[in-house]
Amino acid sequence: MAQAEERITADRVLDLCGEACPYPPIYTLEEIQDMSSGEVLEVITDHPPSVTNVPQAVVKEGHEVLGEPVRNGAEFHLFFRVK
Amino acid sequence: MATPGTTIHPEVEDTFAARLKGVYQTVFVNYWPYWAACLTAAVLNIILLAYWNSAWGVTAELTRWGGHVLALFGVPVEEWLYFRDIGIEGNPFTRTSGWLTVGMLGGALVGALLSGNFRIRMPQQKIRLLQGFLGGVLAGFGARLAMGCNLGSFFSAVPQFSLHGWLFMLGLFPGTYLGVKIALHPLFLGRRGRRRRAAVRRSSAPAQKPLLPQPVVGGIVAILFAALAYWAISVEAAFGILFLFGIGFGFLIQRGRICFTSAFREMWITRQGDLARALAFAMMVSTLGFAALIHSGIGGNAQFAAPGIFIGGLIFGIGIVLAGGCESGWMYRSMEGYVQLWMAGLGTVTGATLLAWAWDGWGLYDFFIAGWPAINLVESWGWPSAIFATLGLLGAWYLLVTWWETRTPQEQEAPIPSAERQPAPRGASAASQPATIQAK
Repeated sequence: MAQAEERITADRVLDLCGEACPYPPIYTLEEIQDMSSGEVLEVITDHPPSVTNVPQAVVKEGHEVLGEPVRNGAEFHLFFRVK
Repeated sequence: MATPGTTIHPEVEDTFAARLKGVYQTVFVNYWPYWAACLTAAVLNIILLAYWNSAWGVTAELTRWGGHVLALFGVPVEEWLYFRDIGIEGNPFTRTSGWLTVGMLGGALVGALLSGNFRIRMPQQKIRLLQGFLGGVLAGFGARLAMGCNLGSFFSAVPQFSLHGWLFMLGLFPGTYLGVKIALHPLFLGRRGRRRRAAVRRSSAPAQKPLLPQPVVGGIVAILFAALAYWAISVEAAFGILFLFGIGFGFLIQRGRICFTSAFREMWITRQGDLARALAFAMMVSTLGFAALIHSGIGGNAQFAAPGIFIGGLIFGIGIVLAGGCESGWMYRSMEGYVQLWMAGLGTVTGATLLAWAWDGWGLYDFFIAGWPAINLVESWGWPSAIFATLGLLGAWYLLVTWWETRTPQEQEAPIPSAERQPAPRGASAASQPATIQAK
């Protein structure tokens, strides 16, 4: 699969593999709350619904979603910028 | 000329192979839109009712599996009132319902493999395994108290005009709400410090590790299942056909992430209503299809409209949120390799079997069910009222989740209330970073 050449450099990586609903969005927001404005969080999840429900929750809180989810097998890498 | 629905990228040559690849991507790799999966399941359910005179359901069969296990240890389960009611003769492969249930697991497995989504997913916090099991026990217990799960007592029951489906649905709202309260309790949420923490990683580039050719494995498994269905049809047509229905349902719930848990739970957490709307829409279609069949004397199975159904729905609602999946949810997730949902499946069978015993063992039948009539709305209210009331109920659900979704979440119990979030202090980021970031 072709991926964007420019990879996003994350300030933090939150590995949520193995976690299923309803936890991934909650843990993601909790992590973001602990970060500073402008920082980039990378969330790794292997729970497919989280590929949509984590960004939805993050956007709802006013933060920014960076790029498209990057798939690596059953893992998805999501990127967010803290508002 | 491009076929409607086929995306032709300018840089991709429009060959037969490229189109086949596109179809494969759309059907087997990408998730289906909720409405497409739910609608297809509804249509399949209508055809199943026409063929089998009974609609989609699984927990009665799961209860029998628990009964079989106990029978191995010499427990006289065939004497239990519950099994006298639902029957426990033979084994799963001498019953159409057994083939349907096994087929669902098989179809979900094929869907998971073909999409490359199979992976053993071990939860980071071991309490999830206990949580899955306990949730499963509650879900199994509640489902059988209610004479069916989210399929038999809801997805198949409301469109069949059985009032017990309405009671079950009413129980799901408070049940899932309580389930969310428990699932988000610090005990289950876990203290942040004790979880795997976010770490800093200089190179965020994921290493591309070689994948097992899951789609190839999925193809082989699919061929094996097809051969099994072929053989079964030649031996006993109904077995093979129900197996194929099961494969179809299993494939659909995996491809469409048909998770009734999420449809109800998300009202209380993220307020996402897409799946609930898709289910409401699909069940409206079922209502019309089932009405046509029932009018011709097919189906129309009603269950007792008793307080036990509401209680069962409530217990079931708590259980599915804790377990992380309803009856359709755990079946496809367990086939995707979620260890938590294997525990939920075990719990479901355990809970359902416990209920079967408690039916007369604790006198639940006498207390909750006995004396209440099975109410079929068609018989009670007549055709026009039954159809319009059912459509109205589903329409009201559709509107309710939409309204709820758009409500300003000012007093919303979000996991992190916005008001509490402090604006990040400027210049603090560099200083605080080394202290707050720890490798796990």
